[in-house]
Amino acid sequence: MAKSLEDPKNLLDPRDLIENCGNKRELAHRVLRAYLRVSPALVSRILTGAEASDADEVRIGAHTLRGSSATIGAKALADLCKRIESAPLATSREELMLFNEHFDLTVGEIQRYLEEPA
Amino acid sequence: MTALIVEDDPVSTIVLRDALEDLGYEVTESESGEEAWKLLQEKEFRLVIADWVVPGMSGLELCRRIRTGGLPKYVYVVLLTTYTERTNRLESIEAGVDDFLTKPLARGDLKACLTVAERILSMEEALRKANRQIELARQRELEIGSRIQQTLLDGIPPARNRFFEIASFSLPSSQIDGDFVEFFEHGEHVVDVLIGDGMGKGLTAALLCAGTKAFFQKALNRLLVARVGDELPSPREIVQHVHNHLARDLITLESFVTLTYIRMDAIRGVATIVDCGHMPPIFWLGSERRADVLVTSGNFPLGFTDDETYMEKEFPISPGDAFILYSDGLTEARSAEGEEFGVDRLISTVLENDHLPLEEFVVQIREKVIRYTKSDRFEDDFTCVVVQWNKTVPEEIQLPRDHDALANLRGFVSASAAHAGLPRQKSQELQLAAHEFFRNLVEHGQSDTHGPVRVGYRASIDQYELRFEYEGTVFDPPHIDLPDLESFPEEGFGLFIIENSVDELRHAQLEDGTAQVVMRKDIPVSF
Repeated sequence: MAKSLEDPKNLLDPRDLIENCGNKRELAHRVLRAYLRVSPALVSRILTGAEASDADEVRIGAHTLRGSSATIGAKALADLCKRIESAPLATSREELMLFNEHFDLTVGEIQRYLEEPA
Repeated sequence: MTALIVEDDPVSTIVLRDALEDLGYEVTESESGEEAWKLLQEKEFRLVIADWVVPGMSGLELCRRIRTGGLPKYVYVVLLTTYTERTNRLESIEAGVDDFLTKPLARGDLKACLTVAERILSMEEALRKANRQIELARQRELEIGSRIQQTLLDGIPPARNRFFEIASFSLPSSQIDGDFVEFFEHGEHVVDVLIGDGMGKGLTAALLCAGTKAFFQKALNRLLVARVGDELPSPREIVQHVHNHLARDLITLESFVTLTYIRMDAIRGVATIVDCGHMPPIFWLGSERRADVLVTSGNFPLGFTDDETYMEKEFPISPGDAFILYSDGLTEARSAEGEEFGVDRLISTVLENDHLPLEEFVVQIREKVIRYTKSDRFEDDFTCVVVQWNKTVPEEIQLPRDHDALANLRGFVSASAAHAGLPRQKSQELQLAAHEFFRNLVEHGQSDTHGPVRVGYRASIDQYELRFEYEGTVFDPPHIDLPDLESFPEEGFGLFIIENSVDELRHAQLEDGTAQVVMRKDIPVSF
């Protein structure tokens, strides 16, 4: 099951990202902005694919979102993506709703982080 | 160093690109396997970091394409994966993947991975350079071997020999096999042909064969100097001499040479063959237009053993007869289906083309093999020599009044007598008479005789006539029943031999002042 939503660290922990960006804060911000730009399309791909029972669409979308979520330190969302990727058509509507809600929370956390003063 | 990232996730790409650039890589990005393969064909990349799952061709398929696509240099492939199952890793390694990185990408892991990559690529580069050096050295060796073959191994057939015609060709293989050919002429009536093949390939084989061939010339010279009388050293003596001086060296070099030494003698009407493990010659019997593989003595190749005693074998020959000598490269040349050309096919080719002039005849053999293999490049050298006692014998020859002309006289008598169908015994008797007459003419000719001697022949179904004509007074000797063998030099012995070696001896002084002597031999006719 996904990590607890109450703990914001489970939504976004950018410490690894910053380290993997060579401690370049500006680069980390660029990565996060790229995430905000491309990830909604991936979520949409997952949900549309699930609606159409297209396993490949769901799996590829979940795989890519899992990688980018892991890269930015959104561990809980990455875990959810992993579950969807491993069983693309076995995910219930409730789980998909939870996934979507989780994604929105993660995006919110990223935006808050980006707005924080350096 | 150049790196290609194959990843459709821009978030991961940004992080990876920055890390690679920080490590000094020149980075190109691609979002699909197909696009990446196109880029790899256009530009040299030494490192590819590909996600397992990308649109179209997967990272794994791309890796397989890289390994089998004939790229000029080795490409180090790292697969980015979130899959960690052992089976996937095994499948990836079998597909040619060098290393794995897992997402999220840790800079430390990347650096460690690239350190290994650079070490392996550097070793691969060094290996490639070393291989290139080896290849250049090998090419150089082949060039030297090829030059040795063209200059030292391919003998030049004697030109304008009255009694024998020789045609040959040699096609070197891509690896230099060391076939060699040599010809020795002993006057016009005797010719020796040597064909050989050294063990191994390349420069070693070329040098081995050049040395062996040179030693044959040396052996012949030594034996000629050491001989007593006019007798030529026999092929067996020549081969034995070479063996005695070379076998131990060949054994030390763990090498050997196969060869066939053949002498064709137009005076004796005999071919003498020493075979040392070479391909058996094909004998073409001109009178019957038949071609057979000769069964020879079965001697060991030179260098097989150091105590071999070589044997020779004699075969009667007549004008028109020929020997076809060839290397195993010819009969073992393979068709596209892998079948050898073989001796039977060679014999068929001989029979199909035996009406052609000799030069054209060997061209047809060469072309037949080339057509059969559908290639002009062969695994082994490919050599063929054809030596033929001329089918046609001139009706008349002109000889200087000199002892040196005796050999040619005997050759002419032998060839013309064989051509006319005179049995061998009678031919030898006639040669003896002709020899004695000519010697007498040189040593005791009348004082008014001068100029060359014309020697001709005429034959019918039951008679052969040998004719001598020269300017001067004919010497018509008295009949001698028995020479005086008590005196020295023996008086009349030569005349006695002449008279008793022919069926009729006629002398005439022609109107134009030419002296003429005719010797007749009857040809037995059987019905």
